[in-house]
Amino acid sequence: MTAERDELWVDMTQFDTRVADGVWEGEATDPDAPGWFADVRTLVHRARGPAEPDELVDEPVLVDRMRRATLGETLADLPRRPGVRAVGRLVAMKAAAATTASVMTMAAAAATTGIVATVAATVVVPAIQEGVMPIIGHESSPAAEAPAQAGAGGGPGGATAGQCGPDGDSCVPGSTGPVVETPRDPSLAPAPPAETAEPAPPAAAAPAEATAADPPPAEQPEPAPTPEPTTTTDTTAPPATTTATPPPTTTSAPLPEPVDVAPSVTPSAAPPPDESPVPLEALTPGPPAEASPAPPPDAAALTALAPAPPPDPEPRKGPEVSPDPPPGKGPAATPALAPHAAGSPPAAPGLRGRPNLPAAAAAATGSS
Amino acid sequence: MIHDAELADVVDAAGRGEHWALTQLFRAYQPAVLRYLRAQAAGAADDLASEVWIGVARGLPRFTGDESAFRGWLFTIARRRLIDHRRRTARQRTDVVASERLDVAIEWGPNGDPARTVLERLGAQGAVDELVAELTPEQAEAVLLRVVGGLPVSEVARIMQREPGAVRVLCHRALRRLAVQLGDEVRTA
Repeated sequence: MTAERDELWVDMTQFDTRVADGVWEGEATDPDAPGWFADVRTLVHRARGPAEPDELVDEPVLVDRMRRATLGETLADLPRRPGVRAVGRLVAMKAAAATTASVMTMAAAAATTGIVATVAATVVVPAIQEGVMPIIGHESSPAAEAPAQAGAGGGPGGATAGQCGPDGDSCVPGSTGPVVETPRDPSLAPAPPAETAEPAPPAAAAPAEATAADPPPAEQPEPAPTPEPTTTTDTTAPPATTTATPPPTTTSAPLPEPVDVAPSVTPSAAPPPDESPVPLEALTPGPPAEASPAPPPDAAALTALAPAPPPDPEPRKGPEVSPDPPPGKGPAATPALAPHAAGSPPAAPGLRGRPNLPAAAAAATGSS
Repeated sequence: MIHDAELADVVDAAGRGEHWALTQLFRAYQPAVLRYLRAQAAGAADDLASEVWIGVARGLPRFTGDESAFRGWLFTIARRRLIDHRRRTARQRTDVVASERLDVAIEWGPNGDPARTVLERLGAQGAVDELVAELTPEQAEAVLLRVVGGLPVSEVARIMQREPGAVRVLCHRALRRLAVQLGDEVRTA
């Protein structure tokens, strides 16, 4: 070791520091420098060379980070008084507490005062009345069949399928979905020609009564729901022209009634009115039997009352919608119904429109 | 490299988050920092450089000094980040060896031709790697700070927390090794 240290020291003393610095700075110009200095100088020059592309690749990212770090540091360096910090914390805590308290209070008030219930009554109930009730009333029975028949095949009523869900299993018998499908099925349609008459309930007279009569759903519920769906199918086939025409108009009238009744009324209530077609019987043995007898007369009467106007071939959606608001929005509803009525010929749209007004839109959207 | 006269303005603007100033600093010193880090921790050099620059950005508002002082401060941060990295890797026992190093070892076998190798390696990082390839860690660090960092002996001694004479000894030993490595015998003037 001593020899090495001495040797190094000798080297250091022999090696001029200026020359050494020149070597490491790449400026060794000493004429006495050994030959290998040139190689070292070359390496030093290259090591100190200009920036290469790969060395500045991260420039955008790093400069951005540096900028944020600098700004953050600057903000952190801002002078703050202890009192200001305490006040800031206090304010933040109070703000958080106030927000939490207000939210909880509103939630409690809504639950206590029934705001939530009000919303349900104003939005949900009408929707059920307009869209669901008629369906329930009409085809609580079909619902059972629908899934089986149309469910797999997708049936003509795509809208229905959507309501029921992918498989159609999820659909409740009384639910909206199935009802629509059933009537559309060709196989089912032909059977209930007589039913066609049912939907027919007098349009003009019905609406007026319906509004007033709405409260007592039990009386009128029967005609409204059942008839329309059936009618649609039937009309499509043969009888449509004569008999079918009137029913649709009538349909509008009956609808209102079911609406009132419908809301909360379960399928059980609906069945009676639904006397409509085969499905009812299949679904609910007990009530349908009784109900069935009653409706026929009504249908007949209705047909008789409103013979003149339009033969609505496929009232399905029309009836559903119509229940609540038979009045003025008819025309608007018509377009939505039109697709269904495509097969139906004449006045269908106009007639449908009136009764279906808002409900048509709701039903259409719901079904779709 | 930035001249003393304009460095003050650049550092001041960079301390306020001025994009142009930060970019200028980055472009001026990033190559040296990256080469220094790559020569000692090739696998983590880029990440370490990022940490270095973030540290620089945070300290810019408080920095005062000339160009030499800035350079010394910059490499002090880089060296600390490097030491931290080595501590982490020592715990994890995973050290990445650059493929270039392996190539150099193969080329510089008993029959290797250093001169040819030097000529073939025209890249800056290649030159740096060759400079420190046969040096001990301390020698390599001293040489890197002197050559790549462009720092004087006194500044290198401060950064390495050694005496200037010790740094000179390290550099001289490194020079002797280089002389042997390059195939010539040391011939002092």
